[in-house]
Amino acid sequence: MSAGRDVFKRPRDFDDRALGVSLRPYEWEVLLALDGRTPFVQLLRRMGLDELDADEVADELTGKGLMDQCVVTYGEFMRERETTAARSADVQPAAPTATNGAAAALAAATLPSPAVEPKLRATIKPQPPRLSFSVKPTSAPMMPRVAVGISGYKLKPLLDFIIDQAGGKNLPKIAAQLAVYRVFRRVPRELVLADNIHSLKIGDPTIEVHNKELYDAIVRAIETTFGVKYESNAANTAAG
Amino acid sequence: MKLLIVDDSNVIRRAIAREIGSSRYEIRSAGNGTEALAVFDEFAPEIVTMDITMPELDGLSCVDAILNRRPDTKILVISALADKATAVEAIKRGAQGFLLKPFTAEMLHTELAELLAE
Amino acid sequence: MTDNDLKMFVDIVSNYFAKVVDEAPLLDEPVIEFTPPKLLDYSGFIQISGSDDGCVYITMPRDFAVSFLRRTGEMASDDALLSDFVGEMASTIASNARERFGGQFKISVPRTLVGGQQPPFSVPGTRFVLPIRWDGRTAHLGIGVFSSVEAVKAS
Repeated sequence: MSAGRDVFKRPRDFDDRALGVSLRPYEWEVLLALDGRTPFVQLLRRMGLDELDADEVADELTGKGLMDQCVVTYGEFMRERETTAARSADVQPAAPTATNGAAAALAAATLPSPAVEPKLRATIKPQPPRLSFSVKPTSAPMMPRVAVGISGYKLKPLLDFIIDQAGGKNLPKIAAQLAVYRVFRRVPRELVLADNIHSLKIGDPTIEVHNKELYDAIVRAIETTFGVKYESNAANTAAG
Repeated sequence: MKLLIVDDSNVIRRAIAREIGSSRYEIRSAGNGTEALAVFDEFAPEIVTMDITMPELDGLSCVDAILNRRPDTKILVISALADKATAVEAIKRGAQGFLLKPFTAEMLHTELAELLAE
Repeated sequence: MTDNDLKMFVDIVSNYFAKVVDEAPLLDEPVIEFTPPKLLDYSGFIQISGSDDGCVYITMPRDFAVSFLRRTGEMASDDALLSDFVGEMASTIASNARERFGGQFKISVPRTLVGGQQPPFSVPGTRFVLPIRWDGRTAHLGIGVFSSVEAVKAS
């Protein structure tokens, strides 16, 4: 197989297929960076991986059924070109917002750095897997999608903060996990579902949300639950 | 020796019967207090294992009724933790043993052995 | 309801396994669920009311229930018996919880649901779901406490 110019996408049931599969971390990163648009070798290069391994990596991941080669009809190809052009015109050099998540994701992926610092880091580094989310399969055609996992707000720092507030690392694991539940009870479910999150695994360090409003709601829930102020850059201080 | 198992859960009735074994005991069972009294009158068991929370006639009332009929009946109350106070009350009224749910086969055998030794 | 209150349900279930099949289950990474409960073949629900309202449930696939009963020596596996089993398990959990919580919470009589049907009563929209792995099979223990908004709607 010569994967260099080929474009790949994740299958619709990627979450299900990924269950129980073990891969090297960078392979998960590659899978989650697939956008159905960028040639595979270019993707590897962007991620700082050796493009000479492209064939081997592509063989392994397609062999495991975790990515599919994109093949499109002429009509689909032309439609996608138009869509991509329209998206590029829409992109504003601003931080990701809840109302423009798709464009924000694209912006984060293409701009060297966000013009406005979001409350949490939104980096363009390849993101670790976010397999903890159950994402509804889209009914739309699987044609080129905006990359996921690029613009998310990582929850790990928030979860660590919750566990600290609940009693620290010495807390029995299950009690710490229940503290996380206690916070999420206060988060409006509509916001969670609007972010296509149906469930989340508490122990997954890679979980992210993509909606700023949701992220802020989680922060508020933490602050209400524990009566403290949460500040992102580890400068967590008790509210006066 | 005749033994009557009273419990509203079929799974528990069958589990107790299986553990006790039919070689040593002649076993009958009942799913509630009312049925238990009917079987008791007809079967005349020496030993009764008695659940506490049951529909129709609860275990405590059933213990009273059985001991009124035959005071020397040996009764082992088997119940979950929340019924402990009721089980203690049952013992005050004449039941001889108490076994907490969930229980192991070993615990059941131990309780029955103690009951029979008395 | 505090974290320790909620943790108690987990302890009770673990203890149930340890006692009945002489083997503690493996508790997998819990999940917070935001959609209606994914109920498996046999489910036992108990409702909680008091300073907080909510529910605790255990739901398991048929093969889990059959395997559990087999381990206790029960070879029958008809629907009625399996349903009775999950009801008894929920009942014991409820009863033990009632004792430990004292008068702080009221614990309902358990309700058994078969075939993945949704409960005919309100269930908190956000729940803590703990996968319980035993004998290569997975059941789920669900714990849900109504948010104040939900509690008003449900009442």
